[in-house]
Amino acid sequence: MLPVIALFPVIIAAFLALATGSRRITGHIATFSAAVSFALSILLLYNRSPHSEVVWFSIGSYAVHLSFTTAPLNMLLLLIVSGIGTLICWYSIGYIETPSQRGRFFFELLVFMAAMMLFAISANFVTMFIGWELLGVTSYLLIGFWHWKEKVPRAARKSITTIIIGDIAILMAMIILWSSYHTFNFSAILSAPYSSAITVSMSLVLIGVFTKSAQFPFHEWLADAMEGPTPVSAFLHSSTMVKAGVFLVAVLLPLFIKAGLGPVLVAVGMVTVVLGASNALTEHHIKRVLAYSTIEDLGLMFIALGFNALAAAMLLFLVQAFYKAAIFMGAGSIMRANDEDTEIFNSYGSASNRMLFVSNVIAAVSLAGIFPLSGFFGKFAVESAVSIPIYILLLAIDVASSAYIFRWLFIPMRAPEHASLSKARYSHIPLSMLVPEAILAVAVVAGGYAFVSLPGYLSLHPLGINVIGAVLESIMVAVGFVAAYLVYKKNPERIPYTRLHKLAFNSPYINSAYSAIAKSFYAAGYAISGLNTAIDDIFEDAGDAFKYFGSAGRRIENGQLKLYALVFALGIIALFIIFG
Amino acid sequence: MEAIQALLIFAFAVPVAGLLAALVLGQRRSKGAGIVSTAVSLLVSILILSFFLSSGKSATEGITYIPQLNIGFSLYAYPISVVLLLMSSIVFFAAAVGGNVKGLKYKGSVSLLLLFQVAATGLFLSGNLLMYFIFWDIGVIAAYFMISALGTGGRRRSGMKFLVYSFAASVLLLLGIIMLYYYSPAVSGLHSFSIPYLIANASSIPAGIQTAIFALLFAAFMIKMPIFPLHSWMADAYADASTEGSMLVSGVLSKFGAYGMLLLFLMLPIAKNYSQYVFILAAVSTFYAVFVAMRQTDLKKVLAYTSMAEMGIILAGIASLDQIGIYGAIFGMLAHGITIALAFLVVGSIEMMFGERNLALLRSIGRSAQIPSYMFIIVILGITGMPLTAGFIADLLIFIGAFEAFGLYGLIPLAAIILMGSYLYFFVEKSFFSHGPTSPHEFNIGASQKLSYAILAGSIFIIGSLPFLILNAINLLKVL
Repeated sequence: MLPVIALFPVIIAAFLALATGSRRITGHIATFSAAVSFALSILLLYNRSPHSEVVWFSIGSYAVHLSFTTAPLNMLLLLIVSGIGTLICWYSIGYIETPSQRGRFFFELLVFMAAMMLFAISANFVTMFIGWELLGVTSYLLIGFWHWKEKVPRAARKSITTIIIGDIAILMAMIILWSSYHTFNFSAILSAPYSSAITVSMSLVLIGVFTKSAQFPFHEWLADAMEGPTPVSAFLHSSTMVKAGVFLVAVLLPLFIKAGLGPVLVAVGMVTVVLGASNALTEHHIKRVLAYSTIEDLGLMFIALGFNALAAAMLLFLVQAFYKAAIFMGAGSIMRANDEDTEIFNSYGSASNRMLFVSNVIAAVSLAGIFPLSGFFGKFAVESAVSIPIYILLLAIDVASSAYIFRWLFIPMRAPEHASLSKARYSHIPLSMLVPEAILAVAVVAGGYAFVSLPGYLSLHPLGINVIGAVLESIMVAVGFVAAYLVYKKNPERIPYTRLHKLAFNSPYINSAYSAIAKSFYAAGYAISGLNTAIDDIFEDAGDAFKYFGSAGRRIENGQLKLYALVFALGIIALFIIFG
Repeated sequence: MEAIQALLIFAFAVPVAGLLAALVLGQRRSKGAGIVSTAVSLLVSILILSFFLSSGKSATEGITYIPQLNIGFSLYAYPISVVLLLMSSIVFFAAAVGGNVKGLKYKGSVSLLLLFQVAATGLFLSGNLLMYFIFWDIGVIAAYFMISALGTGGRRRSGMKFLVYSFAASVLLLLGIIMLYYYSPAVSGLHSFSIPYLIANASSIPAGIQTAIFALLFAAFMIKMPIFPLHSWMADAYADASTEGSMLVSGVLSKFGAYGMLLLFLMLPIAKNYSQYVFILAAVSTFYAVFVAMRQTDLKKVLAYTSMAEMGIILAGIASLDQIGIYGAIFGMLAHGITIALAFLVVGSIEMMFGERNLALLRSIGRSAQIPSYMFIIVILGITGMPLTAGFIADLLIFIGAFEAFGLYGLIPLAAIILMGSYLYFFVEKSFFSHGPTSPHEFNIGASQKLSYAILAGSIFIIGSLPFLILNAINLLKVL
């Protein structure tokens, strides 16, 4: 059985969504098909032939295949995507209220999901790249879903123009690898003898990975992507898109280590972690806080990968998917009850819906890293894998991330002015937006078990337990919690802006760096357009010169016989003088 | 006579018959004649491709009408001609169905379109260079009238500019062809214009003469593709032509030059000495076009310079003189022809709806013109080489070839695609899917234009998802 069969229900449902359009059933079909895909993915666990391929095309004597694999690592991602994808579709049933938007939304969402599933089971560069690029374009369409709103077109464009840099970098890497090894297969390249082509191509792959997974200096698009619908944010941040970069590094990890790129991963990851945490602490947009938190999480995964700690990275990879999807769904529900206001200080009363509040607390506590929720194990595993200096830095980051997530939790808890109105609004949040988050909250609690089981499944060394480390981490989280409690729960007024705040909230500076780069290209365009006009003028002037000579000649040929006779006579005389 | 030979004659006869019918029939019915004729042509070109794939060998058919000079009319089916014929048939069919957006001057536009198709079919299928030259000039005439008679804006001046450049190219081309004819070895006292013969035998021409021929023909094809710095005719011609004129001039006429360039590199071994300089020129042309394109406000000029950048990339593939690179260049001609035709069709729709194609004035048209806007996204996907569009295979193969030939330097033009994608998405942000007041009108586009969109967008994805359909034919080309 080709593993690609797991994609079929989703792809079929995508085109059905275009056909059923605005009808309510569209969302149900989508959810059902996603669930069928999830079920097929589970069946694939029992697949006896993990590798399969078909010839896509051949050039000369070489064939390029579409290759699929159901190796444990790939199955992990496939299950995460199809499982969370199902819940996202379910959540969207309630979330998308305008019927006329339904068809387009579910089409784009399901193609997005199918692209990530294709990426998950790909076993060579070409197959991977199909999924990779489809992810890029569908995320562009989804982020720009409400393209008539302010800020949205800009956010969508920013994501695609950042990602396209990485796309071309990966295409370059593919070409270099092909020329050296005449294959696109991951396993063949992994087992091939080392050459300098690996170093060059893996550096290029890293550029692609950093754009896709929003690492410094390409990280700002992810925060702007919050302009998209919330289910998209929840999906994009938990299991699709941004995870693609991490996953690609995980699959090709031995090559990166061989090429000596481990320290690069650690350094970029560390810078990104600091940027993510500091911006999350100071951001006011309810979803952008979470976006910076994702940027930080991804940085942590890259740090773990940089230390060749695959099991730790993949554990965080798994548990982050649960708590991030849950918390984004929670943010969407809070926004729904507060007139879709994105300003966190304008959000109130989040504790008035019991189901929502409990799920939010579980997700936030897990994100902060409190024992025994799964997030604790993820962070703990990463921190156990790194070197001492990085470890100390990460402990400080633990304080910050605990502080920002409790800040995120506390501020919307404040009692609103019109308590009864707010309560009514919270009670009107549809069940389809609450139940998926509750299911994810259960997964967040249960996910801690993966600490024990995941390394074995991936055939890696089990993760060690280090009590001192666990205690240290818990202390840091507690410090962050207390800080957030004192500042935002006790005294929920806005804290005044300080220089420190400006330093922490550095995203405007990075954005102006982006636009400076764009402007420099635009200026080069101005100069070269000037040259272009000049070249055009030269050719037109040459044309005019001919015209000028033509009209000068016409002035001589004016039909006056006397003039002709005179010239004739002068000519004869001249001939006589010369030859006479 | 084998089936494929009959099909070759048929392929040429169909547009000729269609042209005659369009001239005889009235205004309204001529459109039907154009659609039927181009549809049959498309069918024939698909049949030629499939017969060619099943037989796996090249075929010629022709007559000699000046035996003393070995001059004749011959049709030649081999990998390049079969693929280019398919490309042109798709574009002609789409242009006939949806090209004349405003629905004016049917008879003129259909007859010019079919005249153009006669030229393109004759040129791509031509088995000898003299015929290639004759159809080249017929194509120029058809394109000239599409600009100058059916166009908009400064159409007369643009048309004249186009004509002057084109005839300069024609003169160079004719000189080059005649030199090739005389200096290539004669068989029993007779020289030959035959393309397969010249590919096999032009290598014995003395190096000095080869250089001269190379210079003449290279300049001619540079104008036609166009390549920096001989491109000045292009932006005006593309911008002022009618919609179907822009589709055809950018999609098909530019391939006259690219095809010639490819033949030139296959024929003359001396090309190898210059290939790295040609590659540098191609890279310069690509980046130059990209930087000019990002500063344009006329959507047609943006696309014109984008098209020029893509032609630079195709030239890079040819200059690699590597088997895979040349396969990529052929595939690139196919991909570029279809994609850019779709792009200009989108502009046609937008111009019809809003009476405007200035990007500075168009705002938020995505809501009232949904189909053209999404089609524009598909164009960008094709241009940036997204997998499952035809552009991906082209880029992949071209740059594998360029890397084999020039190492890491060979990959530099790929970076131009980042810039292309960026400015195109910027334009989408500003004009298509943008924040702002939307036009109160909900526009519907006619069924014929929808069909035209479906043909072109469908072809982009079909060829991109099932590239083996084309590559199996291209693989039969034995180069170098």
